[in-house]
Amino acid sequence: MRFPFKTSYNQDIRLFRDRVDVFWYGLLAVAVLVLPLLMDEYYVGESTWVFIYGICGVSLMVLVGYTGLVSLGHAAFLGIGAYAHAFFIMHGAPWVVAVGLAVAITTACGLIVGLPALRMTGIYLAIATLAFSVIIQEVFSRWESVTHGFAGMKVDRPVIFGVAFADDRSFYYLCLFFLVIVLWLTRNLLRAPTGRAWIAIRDSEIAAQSMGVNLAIYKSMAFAYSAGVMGLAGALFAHKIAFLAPDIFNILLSIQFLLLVIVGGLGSLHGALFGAVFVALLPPLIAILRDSIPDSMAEFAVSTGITPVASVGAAVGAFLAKPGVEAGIFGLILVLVILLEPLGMYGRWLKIKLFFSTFPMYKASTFKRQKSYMRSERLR
Amino acid sequence: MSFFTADNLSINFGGIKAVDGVSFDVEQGEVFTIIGPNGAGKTTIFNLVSRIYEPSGGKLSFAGRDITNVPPHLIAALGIARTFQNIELFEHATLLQNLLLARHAHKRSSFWSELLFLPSVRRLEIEHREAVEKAIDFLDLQQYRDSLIVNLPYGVRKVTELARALCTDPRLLLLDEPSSGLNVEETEDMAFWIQDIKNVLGITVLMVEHDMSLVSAVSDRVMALNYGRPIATGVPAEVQAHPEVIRAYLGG
Repeated sequence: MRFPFKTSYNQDIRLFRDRVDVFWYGLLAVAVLVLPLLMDEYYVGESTWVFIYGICGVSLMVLVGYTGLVSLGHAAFLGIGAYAHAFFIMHGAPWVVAVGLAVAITTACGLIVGLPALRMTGIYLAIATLAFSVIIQEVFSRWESVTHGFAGMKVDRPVIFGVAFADDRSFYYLCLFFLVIVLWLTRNLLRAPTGRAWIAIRDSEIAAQSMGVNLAIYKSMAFAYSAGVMGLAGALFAHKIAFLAPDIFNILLSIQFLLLVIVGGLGSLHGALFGAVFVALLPPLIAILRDSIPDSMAEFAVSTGITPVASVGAAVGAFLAKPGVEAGIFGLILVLVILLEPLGMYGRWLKIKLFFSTFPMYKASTFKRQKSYMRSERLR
Repeated sequence: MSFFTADNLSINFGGIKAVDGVSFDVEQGEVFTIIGPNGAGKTTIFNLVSRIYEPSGGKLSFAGRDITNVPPHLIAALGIARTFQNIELFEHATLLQNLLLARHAHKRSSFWSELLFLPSVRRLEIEHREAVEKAIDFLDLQQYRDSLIVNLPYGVRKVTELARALCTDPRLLLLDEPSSGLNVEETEDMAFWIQDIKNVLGITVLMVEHDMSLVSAVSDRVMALNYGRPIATGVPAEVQAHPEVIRAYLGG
């Protein structure tokens, strides 16, 4: 077990705890930079989803995980960002300008949606944001002069300052770049007074207020920042799927984002990334299993002579190919995570890390929590 | 003009007059305690002072300024800090983060500079940290600095709340039942700390408390309250011996 020896206040402020952390994050950076050169282009394309979902995850994590405000309408912000970006590109705006405007517009929308959030919490806020996303989806399909409605909108790969990001590999690096920027900016806010104010609002509004936090300003700020980040994700999303149609930005996508932050682990940026890996890579994983299980099981049956294995393999393949199975598996995992690991994948990661760093002294009860003491409900 | 004045303060919840025309003055540098049976309106007075409740009548003034209409989030910046009866810490943050949040009233960095974490933000953060470390040293919380609040025992949480209130650099400290849930030894520590806060830090204390040993040990003046009305004010021994107070507590 490592105990960093602290000799300066800067050690609690800086991005990485110590050299060991720098080493591991450096190793991760090298891995994500080198991997696309070794992988098949198809897998590079699928991995790009991890970064786009990662940006979405950071966006929702700020709102749900840090400020404690639930949103069931984040697909709408993604859509606003995507459509705004595509619209400005189509009208000849340079890429950087189009992204900037898309982020600005989603931020403004976030501010407006954030206003009712000042008076609502929990399930009521979830319903309000859900209503917002339904309205926005309707706007996408009706406002044809801008969005082209159900005829859809084609979006080409980005050309930035004359450099084309046409193939999957270069686009992978572009998305990675923006994810790192978003992580850095968000981490900066979270280690500064603004981030602490958000955490304070999540844990006790009344105490936050008594310590000088203006609830209205910081809640709208969280909404605006979250929406702005989502707008950036939307711009990249538009390039990634290459064709925008209103029904993409539906409530299922919003729920998927919520699933992402919960499965990843609420209240940590690591959780947003773990969740993104999970949400982005589960569908291709299912697809790979669907295609490979029947064949490999059949081969196994031929080589060993146990013929029933082949039919089991075929049945599993057929089951995975059924429509709705993917959503079912997502749902099952969500239920299991909430039941078995409320801290999400990040919580599990912490436990595994602790197990190895304290081996053989690990105690399972280290993470046990006492139920919280009585709190002053009367002030709510 | 007194340091802090409540003048004819009232609030109604529906037909119930929770606080009914309460007036009192707190002089600079004294410990003023409000006692009274359950439901007498003590905590309600605190919530009125920290502006969480809107008074239905009366005036509050602090350091020569009328604060009856100041919004609640500006109260801390004026120099009034409080603790809560049932501990309102930020449970899923570390003790250090809790105390740093108390510096929010002194925040000088802008959103944009924080977004980029400019050197000025780092400098301000270290200034805040130095202020926080003073409170940590004052209340002996060094060993808990990096613990999450959910992992701390009740007694330490109580002290943490006191530390958090001190981190706002208050001139008037509102303590809502500082000894509730503490054992005899912890209560004695609390009494020493309240005396130190008054004598060493020179902070005026307005306190709600049930534990009479603590009240008589630290209070300069006591006000007894019953059914939202003051029934006696004076030095602790005087109020404790007051027939109205005895009747309020014992009935009859």
